[in-house]
Amino acid sequence: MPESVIDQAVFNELKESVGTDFIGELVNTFLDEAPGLIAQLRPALAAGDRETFRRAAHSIKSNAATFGAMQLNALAKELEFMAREDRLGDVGDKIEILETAYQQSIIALKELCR
Amino acid sequence: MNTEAGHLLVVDDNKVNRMLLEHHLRQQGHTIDSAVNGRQALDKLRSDSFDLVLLDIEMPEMDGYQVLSTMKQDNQLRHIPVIMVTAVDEIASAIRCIEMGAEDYLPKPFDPVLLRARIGASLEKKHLRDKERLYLKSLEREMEIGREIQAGFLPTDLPKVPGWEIAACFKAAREVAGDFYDAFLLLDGSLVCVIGDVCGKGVGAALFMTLCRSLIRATFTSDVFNRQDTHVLTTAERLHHVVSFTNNYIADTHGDANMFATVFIGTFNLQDGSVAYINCGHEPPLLLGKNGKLTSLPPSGPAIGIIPDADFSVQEIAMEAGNLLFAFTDGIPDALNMEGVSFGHERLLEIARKGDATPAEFLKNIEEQLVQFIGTADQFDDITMIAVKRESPPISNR
Repeated sequence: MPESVIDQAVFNELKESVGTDFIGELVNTFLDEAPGLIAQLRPALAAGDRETFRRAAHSIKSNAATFGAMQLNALAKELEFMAREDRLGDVGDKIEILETAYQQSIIALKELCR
Repeated sequence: MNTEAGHLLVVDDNKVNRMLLEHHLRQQGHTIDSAVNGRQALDKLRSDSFDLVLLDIEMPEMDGYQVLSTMKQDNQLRHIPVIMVTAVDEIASAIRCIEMGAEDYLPKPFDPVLLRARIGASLEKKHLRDKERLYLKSLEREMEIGREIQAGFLPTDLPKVPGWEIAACFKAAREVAGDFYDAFLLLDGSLVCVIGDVCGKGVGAALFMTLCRSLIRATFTSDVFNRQDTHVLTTAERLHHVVSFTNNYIADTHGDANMFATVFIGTFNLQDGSVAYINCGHEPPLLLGKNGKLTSLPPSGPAIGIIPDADFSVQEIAMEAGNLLFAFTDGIPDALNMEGVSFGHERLLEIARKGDATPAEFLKNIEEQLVQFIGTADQFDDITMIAVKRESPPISNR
């Protein structure tokens, strides 16, 4: 399962460059930070706060890319663009899909860090 | 790798990014501080000294553009190199930052090898620029010392003699000058006035200016002339000796430097108003007589320092009460305005013809007209003037 959610090459490269201990620390930080960022999306969407929405999506996108969580990265990037281009009406169920991708990513990351 | 270690500031609101960057940079030997937004970054930049800033663009409160723009407008911060940290899909933003003055950019996710190379190159450039700035500072300091010392080669006070008035004006075009003037009294009571212009500008001219001025002053005021024989030199003989001695010394000792100076030296008999002078290739001084009559005092010998044993002839004029002798350097007629037009001799002669003032007022008038003429153009050459006036005798009731 992890293979499909996390790009192994990206993750391994990161692991090699920072070492096993530090990658654990990085993943834990991501797990601490990401729920807060994801939680900002719905209220921002409801309030039409494009800036908060865009910034949260941007941060999720950035971290996902760091760990090779490509699906999560692509979804966050899409949301960021929607906010940037003032197309929040197109968001639809994308937040739910992103949440699922995040859940899958953390399972895979935890697995990889073991 | 020739990466030099530095003190770096990492600015990113994303904790994972900050941790990752800090980790890599520490491993590469740098010391790190971090800021979570632009405002905090500027506070840290102003309270600590950093060699380089790694700056994220997307940040709350104050973004990377604002930080960069503030840094580039701040004289204390503008020299610190900034590397923008951007996602691969934000290259356009990175380019905009480079146009704003950022040194380079780094794409996220970070490649440690690329990170090392770019930071190493930026730090190396920064260290070179720092060295250059230090060098410039020390050079400026040296020039300032030179300027102060050279100022000591000009008279601090002009002689005060009854019945005569002397004034001078000196404005260097650069820190150090090739122009000089001098005025002093001899033991026999006569007054010596000197004005000179050493060829060229800057330090070379300034060194020769100090040599010329010192030789003239020292030769004039030493008493060697009277020591070996009973013959007391006349004023004209003394003047001739001073000029010949100075000329031969410079031509013989410093001939290879190809430096020379145009000099006018006048010896004033304060009792009878007679003036013995030698004009060594200098701008002809003007004698302002009654009713606007002007007499030019043309060269009576070549510039000092070119021809050994050159022939200098002593000339004599008489200054009557109310006459004013005005000597100047070519910085006045040659002064250029914004249109590239020179002040010229005619403008100077026109002022001189109307000159019925004290020497100080006369020079001030010329200076004001010159400043007005030059306008916002840069002063191209040193400007030096000296004026000596034989006062009209007071109306006596006896």
